[in-house]
Amino acid sequence: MKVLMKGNEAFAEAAVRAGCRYFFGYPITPQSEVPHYLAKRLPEVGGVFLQAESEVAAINMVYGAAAAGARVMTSSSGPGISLMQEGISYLAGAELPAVIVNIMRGGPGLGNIAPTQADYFQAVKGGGHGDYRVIVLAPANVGEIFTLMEKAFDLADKYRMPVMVLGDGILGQVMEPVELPPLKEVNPPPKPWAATGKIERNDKTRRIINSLYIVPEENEKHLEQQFAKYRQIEESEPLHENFLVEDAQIILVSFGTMARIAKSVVLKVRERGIKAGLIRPITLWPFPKKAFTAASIPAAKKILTVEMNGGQMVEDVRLAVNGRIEVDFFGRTGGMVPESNQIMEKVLAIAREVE
Amino acid sequence: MGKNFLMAGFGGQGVLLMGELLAKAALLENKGVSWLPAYGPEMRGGTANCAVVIEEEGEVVSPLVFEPEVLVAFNKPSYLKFLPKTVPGGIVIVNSDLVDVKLSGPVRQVFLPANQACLELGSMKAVNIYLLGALIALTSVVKAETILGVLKEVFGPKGVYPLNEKAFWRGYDDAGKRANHVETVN
Repeated sequence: MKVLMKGNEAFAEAAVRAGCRYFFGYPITPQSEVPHYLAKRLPEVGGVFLQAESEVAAINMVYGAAAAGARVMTSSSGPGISLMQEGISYLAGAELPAVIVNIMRGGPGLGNIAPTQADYFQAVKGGGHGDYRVIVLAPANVGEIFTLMEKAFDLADKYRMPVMVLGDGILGQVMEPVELPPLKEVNPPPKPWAATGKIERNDKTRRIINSLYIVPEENEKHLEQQFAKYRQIEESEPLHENFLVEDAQIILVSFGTMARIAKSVVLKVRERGIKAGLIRPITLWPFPKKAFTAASIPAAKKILTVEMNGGQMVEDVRLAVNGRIEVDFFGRTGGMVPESNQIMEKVLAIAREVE
Repeated sequence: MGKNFLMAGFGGQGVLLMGELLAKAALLENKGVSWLPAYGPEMRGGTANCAVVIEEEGEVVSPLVFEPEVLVAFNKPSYLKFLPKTVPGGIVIVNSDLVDVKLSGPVRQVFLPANQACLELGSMKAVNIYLLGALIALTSVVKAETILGVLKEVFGPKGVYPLNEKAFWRGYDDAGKRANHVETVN
């Protein structure tokens, strides 16, 4: 049976159903329903909810729980995620699995609480210091929040690294019908590296979880292992959705809720006989480069990237097509949402140009 | 694509709840639906609006409503702001007790004295349900009995349900009476 559920509550319930039992966070609009929901829900399943004194404390509590082998998460929005970046870098350096939800709001600085996708660079290109990656997933509707949150915890454990799930204020606040996945026993993979206590384990080996590699040769070796892992992720984990791209001359590219507005534009211009399609990256890192090969978009004459920011993902789209096709951009920023009519005008202008 | 509804008024008038009740009824009828509040720094007495999209089959494509097909204007600022955005041929349901102007536009405007009617019934708090009744009478987007089932579930069978049921039918009937001679101002 389907129930109406708010996006933020879905992030929280999906985490519980994915076996997450630990949440450390600090409230901030527009994601406060995530901690609100988990404060009640986690104790029901024997878990721990803790409102930390700050985002800096929260992410380091996540570090501690992850080091002990727990399925753990935090959530925040723009300014709070910025505060967490040091901890995220440490998680990456220490190869610890954790899930971080960012429900983006208008920035930079204090900005506002309106929806935006302006944290794309921060999420995808690093965010914290050092040479590392986090996997970034971008759900577009409430149902997909459930599938991608489960995937986020699985990928985090599989590759021993932080995974960020990126939404915006619209996704956090929207209510949609969703079929709740069954409550099932979750068995995360064994974590023989976890600091679970020598006495409890009854062995004499020490488990050291650390990101300190004071000898550069050793750090390079450590990072080379990480980059081998990243290459494997780039090979096997990219995900995207294609919508009417086979015969499309104009390809729109959007992620998250923005992709839903873009999809409505594709449907509208198709009514006028314009062959448009949509590629929706679901993994933002690894970026789904193969969606942009000549074989994947055989009829494409021009690409239009549409984002709720001043132009961020468009750089990855340009890298993916590598100059083969012209890539245009349309976006609004600061918490403003590109309206369907504005995007449509842009597509119609491109259609005249392409003809 | 789906039918777009926008409800707008003051915080405290029950605008968001009205949208939520409509969304719940649509779900019960197995339609695709989304409910999206304008979640800015709103407060009691400030502005409040929400968008509901209902799809007869399949899921809602985009939950954002830039140009409503059906607008419910609870007050004057909402009427002035959103009527010009309503699509040609759209329906605008107006709480005439709080809107003392008339804009022109290629839309069907239905003026209903919602505050006065609900005061007569016993409480102005039912204005949102009165207007919901009007919306159902004018659009038939979901069945009246489905909405009443949702109202009973949300308000409880005793409590404030009887008042809200009365408000619903009053809005439904008032809109029905006026539906035959709605004003299309061009």
